[in-house]
Amino acid sequence: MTTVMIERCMTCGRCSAACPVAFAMDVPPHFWAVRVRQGEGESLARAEAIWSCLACFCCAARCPRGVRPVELAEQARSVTLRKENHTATFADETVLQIISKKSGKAIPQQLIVAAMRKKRA
Amino acid sequence: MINIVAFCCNWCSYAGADLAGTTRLEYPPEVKIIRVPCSCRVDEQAVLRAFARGADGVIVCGCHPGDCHYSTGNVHTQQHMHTLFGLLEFMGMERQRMRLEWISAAEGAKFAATMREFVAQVAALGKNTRYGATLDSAYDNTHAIKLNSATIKEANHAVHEQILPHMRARAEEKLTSGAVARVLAWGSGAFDPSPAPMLFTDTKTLARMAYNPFCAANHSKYLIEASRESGRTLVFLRPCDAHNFARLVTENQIRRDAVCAVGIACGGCLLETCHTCAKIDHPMVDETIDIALTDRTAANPDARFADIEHLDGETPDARYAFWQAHLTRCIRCNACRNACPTCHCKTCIRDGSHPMEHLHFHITRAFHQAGRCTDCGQCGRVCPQRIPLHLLNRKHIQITEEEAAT
Amino acid sequence: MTRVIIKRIGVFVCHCGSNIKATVDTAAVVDAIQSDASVVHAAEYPYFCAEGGQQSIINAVHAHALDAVVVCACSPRMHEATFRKAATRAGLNPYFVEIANIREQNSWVHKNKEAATQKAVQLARAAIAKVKRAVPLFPGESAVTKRALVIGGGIAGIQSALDIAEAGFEVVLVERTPSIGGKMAQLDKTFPTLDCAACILTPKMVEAATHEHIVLHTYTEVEKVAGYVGNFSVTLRKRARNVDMQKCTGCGDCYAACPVKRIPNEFECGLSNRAAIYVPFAQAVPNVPVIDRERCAYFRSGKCGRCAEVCQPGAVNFTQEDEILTIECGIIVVATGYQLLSPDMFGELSYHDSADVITSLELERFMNAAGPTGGKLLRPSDKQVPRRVTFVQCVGSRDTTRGKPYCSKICCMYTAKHAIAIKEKYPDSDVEIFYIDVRTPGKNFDEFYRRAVEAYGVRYIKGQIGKVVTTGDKLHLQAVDMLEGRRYNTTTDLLVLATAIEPARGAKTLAQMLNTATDTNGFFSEAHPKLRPVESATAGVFLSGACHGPKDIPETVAQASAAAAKAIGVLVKPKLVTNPCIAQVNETQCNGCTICNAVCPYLALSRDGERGCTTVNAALCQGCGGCAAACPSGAVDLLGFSHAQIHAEVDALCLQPTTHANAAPIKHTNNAHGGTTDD
Repeated sequence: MTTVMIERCMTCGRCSAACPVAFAMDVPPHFWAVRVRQGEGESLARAEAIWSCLACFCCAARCPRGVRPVELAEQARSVTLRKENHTATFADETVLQIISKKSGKAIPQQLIVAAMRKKRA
Repeated sequence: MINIVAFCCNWCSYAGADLAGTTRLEYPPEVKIIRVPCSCRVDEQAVLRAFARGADGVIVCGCHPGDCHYSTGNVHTQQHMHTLFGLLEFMGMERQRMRLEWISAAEGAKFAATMREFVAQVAALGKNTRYGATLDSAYDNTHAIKLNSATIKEANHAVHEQILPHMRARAEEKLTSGAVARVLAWGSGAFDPSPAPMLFTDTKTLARMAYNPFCAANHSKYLIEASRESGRTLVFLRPCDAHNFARLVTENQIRRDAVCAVGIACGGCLLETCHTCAKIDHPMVDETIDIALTDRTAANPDARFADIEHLDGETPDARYAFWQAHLTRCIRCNACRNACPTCHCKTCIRDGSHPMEHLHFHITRAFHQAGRCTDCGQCGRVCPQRIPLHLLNRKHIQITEEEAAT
Repeated sequence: MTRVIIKRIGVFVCHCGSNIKATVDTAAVVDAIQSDASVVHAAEYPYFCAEGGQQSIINAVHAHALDAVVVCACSPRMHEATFRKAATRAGLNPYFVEIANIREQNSWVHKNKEAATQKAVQLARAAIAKVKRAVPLFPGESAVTKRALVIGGGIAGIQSALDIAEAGFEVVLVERTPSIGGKMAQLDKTFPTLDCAACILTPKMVEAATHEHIVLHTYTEVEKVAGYVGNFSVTLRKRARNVDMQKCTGCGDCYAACPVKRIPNEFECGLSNRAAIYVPFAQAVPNVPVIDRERCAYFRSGKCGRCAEVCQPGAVNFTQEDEILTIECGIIVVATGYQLLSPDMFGELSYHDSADVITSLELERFMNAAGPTGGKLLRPSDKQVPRRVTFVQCVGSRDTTRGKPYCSKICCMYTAKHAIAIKEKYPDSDVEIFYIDVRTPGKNFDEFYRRAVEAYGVRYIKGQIGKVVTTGDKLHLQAVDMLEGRRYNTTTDLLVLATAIEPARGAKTLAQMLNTATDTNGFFSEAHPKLRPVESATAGVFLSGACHGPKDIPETVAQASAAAAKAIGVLVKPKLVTNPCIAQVNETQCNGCTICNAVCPYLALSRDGERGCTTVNAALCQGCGGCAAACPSGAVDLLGFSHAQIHAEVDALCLQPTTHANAAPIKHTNNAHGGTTDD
């Protein structure tokens, strides 16, 4: 079971309200879980927003339902990078497979932030 | 044709079965329902009796957790049935013959589906020829599993030697001052060097008091009688004795105010359970003698369930063979029952039952200790036929601990 | 208990039209069961439940001198009561009737006629075996103390107390704080009618205090509950007010004179101060001050006593001590209400960092004419009227990580009410509400909410606030407008948090005292969510108001009256009739180990120290039988479902001639289970 419990999202918007870069995103975080839930994970992977995400975990901390949008962004980033033949990161399945509960554990925050920084550099 | 007994609680599952009828959902006629007010009413004897009388499968159905008409009845059902089914399975009954299911009054479809599935599952196993009323006395013992019981290690005799003079002194002091009327301690018999519990009333006889690795008897059970005598009784309790003492006081079997309980250090004894024992505390004692000396270095508590896991790894057939080999030797002397500190009913529920129902006797004996047994090992120790009875207790301890952990 | 030896059993096989007869060869069933020597009469009939069928059973009982009756028909849940009544008319004990369910659990679920017929015979044999071991049972009786105890003096408790008192029963109303009134007394207006809360509540408070059948104990807490429905005995601790209730005239000289003045007033949510001797609010009932011993200079240092000096009637009494009262009552109504979740967990909303972030209850006090600002909405920081007020909903509600998983239900409506009230008072102000969903199911509720939007121009924004930063006299909000799908940054003058509501402090402890259940959120659980919504799982304990879950005032009052009606239903009974199918202890076998006591959810079992055995309280026992299964020695049995009966059913179902050979057909005795020696 993945920790990204997309079905729990009730679109309250606290993630986008908390996100320090949501103002600059084409798709703010409150859309992410919904998009994946509607089978439009691909469009999330194509969005510019996932590259704006700072992996600060504000969205995860403020979410009243325990959804962790930040991990969706990280998974989308990993997939995109892999498709473009970048070095594979720790998530080596497609977004949809990962969130369809195949990944076993929560991704540690440190790891996501570290991976994020590596890619941005 | 197989035969299934279904115990259904009146408020949910029986109503669910009625709904299956009202909506004409078919299930096999092998299923016969017995109505009980709550699933917690189903006692182990009813289940054992069903198997003894030839039922091929037993299913107990109750309300979903949280929906019990009697608020928490099904919680007890779950505890009871998991333990009972676990013991039966441990003794070689196929787990597929026993089932606990939560079915609400609205789940007619679930009732029918569950029964169809259960009947198919039991039918695949065939008739229950194993846990009928009697044992096959001509069973071939050579197939029995060999246990790798913990190797008997040396007990720390130094502890015993160091403490014994203090015990004598304490006994003498209390007897002389009149604080106690008698002292319950181990004493060497005239013919047998192995110490047995003795009541000392005279300071002159205290020289016979013993404390050594052969002191295997658990004092607490003797206190049931002793605490009913006039005057107080001084008793020396090791951690295992003290745990049983506390249990018996809680269950009102020992009059607490009639006992002066002295906790003593334990150096271990030559009992099998002793070598996996981790107890070092002395609950409910009044005073202590050098309890800090308690030595558990020889004990290996991690090996506690080693034999259980070994048996669990075997097939039901092999487990059945194992227990057949042992239990066919049972002579129903009831020594296990008499020695067990938590076996204290006025009359035993299995008295008057068929003398050859050894399996059911021993399951009942063990089942009734579930949640109360302190793993003191007296049952296995006193068995004149060397049946490893403590394994049954270990099994339910394992089940209880696993349940508590989840 | 007289043991009636049942030797003559009549078996009645019903066709139920074709419902049974089409699948079960009823004639074959009649034939088969006659092999049992105890069956002296067997008959079939199209509809035994019909008047003619019942009469034929009665006639057969007389004609064949039957001791007991077995009816093979539909589910006992359907017609057991019918046939028991018929048996009673025939002069039999109603518990000498057993039903074999050959319709719902046989003819309707099987198609093979042969198999169904065989199963019908087995079920009939099981019923015969069971009824052979029946004992006559008689419903017990217990007295009812004609007094009610209501715990909690908010609107719920007041309403329940008044309703019960109006029916002519004495009521003891207990309230923990110095005055009754509860949360409603703190409110300004009520939705959706905008009635003034105090205007509709204070008359009820006075009525409760002056009602001839109501005894009011304020500043009092429940310490212990013993007994059972009809016969509760409740211990109360009436805390020392240190003011004589009889002598005090409520003049208020004492609190004017008190030198200790800077204590945050709990009733005003700490927005204003009170003295160490105080009445919580002007309309308090009773209007008698209490001394806050923790703060009072006299109690702290022994020096002062100003209040006593100025009190002309001499009502101040420093030597008064807590009083322990014991109340005997027949029923208990729980009306302990709710409290607001502390916004501590929501640091991003700056509740503790900015004076201008307040909770809705604080806003109520600001809006209230009797409140700290005399009804003027003034920002706490600079005492100016805010030009823009922003509300945020669901602070802690519907929040599984930092708050409560449930919807607090009333926040949407009271926020709309606040918005309208502010717009009414300050038409130039600007009101914005951040919401997740607006939930307005209730009479005239949605109209009210739409009025806020359409008539008052309140701006509802679907979204939440992620961060609040104070700069100068403004609160900067970092928020999101979800419908626009964009970040919405704005500023405001006053931010109001609709914090979640949770059970009142001490509800759990009280539930334990009452031995009744609470749900995972700590609210009291009802006996059945649909059909018994105001009864608790414990007989004689009823639930009123928000102690049971979030509720608005009309709902609370409705439930309070419903609880009162249920309570009156118990109190009017001359005697309570108890279910005869209860636990029974065989005292010669019981050794008082109390293993059974621990299993009982109703605390119906207790150990009699003198006799050294367990006894059953027939009024508490509900007949689940857990104790009978738990008792290792079989000393506890359940009447109507005894060990002997269940075991006989098991035998009848398993020991069939067709069962396999290895199951030895032993007919043995099992003395430990209540003397089953009559096989």
